[in-house]
Amino acid sequence: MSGEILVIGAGPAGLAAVRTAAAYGAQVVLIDDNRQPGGQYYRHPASEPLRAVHGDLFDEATRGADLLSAATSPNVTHYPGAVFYGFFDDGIAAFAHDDRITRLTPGATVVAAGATERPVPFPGWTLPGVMGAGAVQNLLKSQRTLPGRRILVTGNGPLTLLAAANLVRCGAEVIEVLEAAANRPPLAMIPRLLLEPGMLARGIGYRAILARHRVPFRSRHVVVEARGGARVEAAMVAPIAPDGAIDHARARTLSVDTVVAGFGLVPSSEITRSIGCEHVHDAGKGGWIPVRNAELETSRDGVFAAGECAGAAGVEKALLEGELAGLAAAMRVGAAKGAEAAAHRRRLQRRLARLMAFRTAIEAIYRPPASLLPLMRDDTIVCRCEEVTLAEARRWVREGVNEANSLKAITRMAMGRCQGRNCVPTLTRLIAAETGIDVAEVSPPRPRPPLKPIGVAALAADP
Amino acid sequence: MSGDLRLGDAGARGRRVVLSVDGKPVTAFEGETVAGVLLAIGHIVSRTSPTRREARGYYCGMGACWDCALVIDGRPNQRACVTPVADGMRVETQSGFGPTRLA
Repeated sequence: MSGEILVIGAGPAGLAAVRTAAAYGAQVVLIDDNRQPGGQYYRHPASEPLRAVHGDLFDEATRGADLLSAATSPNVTHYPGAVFYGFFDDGIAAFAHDDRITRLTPGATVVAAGATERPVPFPGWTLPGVMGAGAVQNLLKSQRTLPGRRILVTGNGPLTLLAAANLVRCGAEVIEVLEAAANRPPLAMIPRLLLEPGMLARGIGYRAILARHRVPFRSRHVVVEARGGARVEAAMVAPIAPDGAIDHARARTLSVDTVVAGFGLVPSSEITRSIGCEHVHDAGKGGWIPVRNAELETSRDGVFAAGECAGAAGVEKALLEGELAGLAAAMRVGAAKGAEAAAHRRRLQRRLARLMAFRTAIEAIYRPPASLLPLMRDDTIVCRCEEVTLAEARRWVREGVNEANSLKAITRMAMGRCQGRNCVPTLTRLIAAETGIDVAEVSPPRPRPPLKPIGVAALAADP
Repeated sequence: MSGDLRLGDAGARGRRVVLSVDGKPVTAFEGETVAGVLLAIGHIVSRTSPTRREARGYYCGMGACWDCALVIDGRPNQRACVTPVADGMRVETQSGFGPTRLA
């Protein structure tokens, strides 16, 4: 064998890669910035009694116990609370852990960095009480606590519907659920939906939960403003016309203390972008994703990408891709070989192809309006960290700063603690809208290490 | 469910710990995060922003946005959503960049 396998991310894709590579006898180093393995999907309470509260509703970690245990396999070294730093010359990778920088030269690398929620700024979106759909999922899954007493759920995509159904099942008062898309499958897509009857049934089941509890579900509707002093006290909502225009004239005000705004996921491609992998913009998969071959290898030799960071499309796809990338990495270092490994790979590729055909139908059902930028007003914050408003950002774009790296340098957008996760999609869409080009033509700012904040102690300790 | 937003009976949530939030004692349960406790009791403002002095709170819930950062045991900029509670912990709403620490 030639070298160990570095897996970055201990969510569904990363753990599936670890389990598969370890089962073939490869040595694996797993790094992840969370305390517990499992990523967002398998998030669970840190104590057994809490885990039992509504344990029947949130059983992901129980069903995934075998996968979670992959992090503690004998030939796996797991570094929780570790932040990937970068790839350097000669294939050296570095990560920060325990106030130290650790280096290794992996024989193959699987990037499984997951995704973050798509930021969609609207007036009032920084008020306490406005939070993401994933944020609510984490609160329910890991804390067994509700976010508020009167809740509006708004956004786009299946995760938002799931969060709404979970809130209702936990007894929360959900006032309305708004989906920005038309939410109807085009006729040609119906056969594809039937490829995965189990997943289709689950989705229909979430709608049935809302219906049973008489929670209104409105497609082509969206929040247009959250209002309040130090927290949300009301939300204004409005219909979206078939041409995508927001119909402010028909806006209504709802009395709520919480707005759950989940507009889908953005692949966390910072790592693959920072190490120079080729990327392509795929709106249906959430944005910029690494170009990969049939073995999920990126344009950089020996670097594979799996799961949401290579296209947001749900946990089932992440698990399959993780397994495939883990297998391919194990073959690369010589741990997996022969006809058995090749047959395993073909089986995974076939299964993945069927799942992705199903996902194109889901993408069509949830295709969002062309632009949600008009939700913003001049004084709406576009960059939560550096507190940059739409008017400021737009002024620079109109003065000719219409390239993402320059706009970042001049406004400080994407330089704050979230490292652009909550502003880059808005920044690139703004440049596209102002200059009249497609968003796929606007490259995001080049990510630079450290990709997430790390303590200066780690850097200071590094000679 | 008592007066707060926790699910299930308080008696079934496990071992209790006591922390302070802006000087007031608050009972929590082992395994909860600071953000979980603050949301449960309705203390949803974690900090005021440095420039516009606007209230911020729990937003992404996964440690990525830093909006829920506040002062924990005197250390500023600690993310409530990824910090487990502990007995005797002191949690304070953060103003701007928080208290300056030397060393």
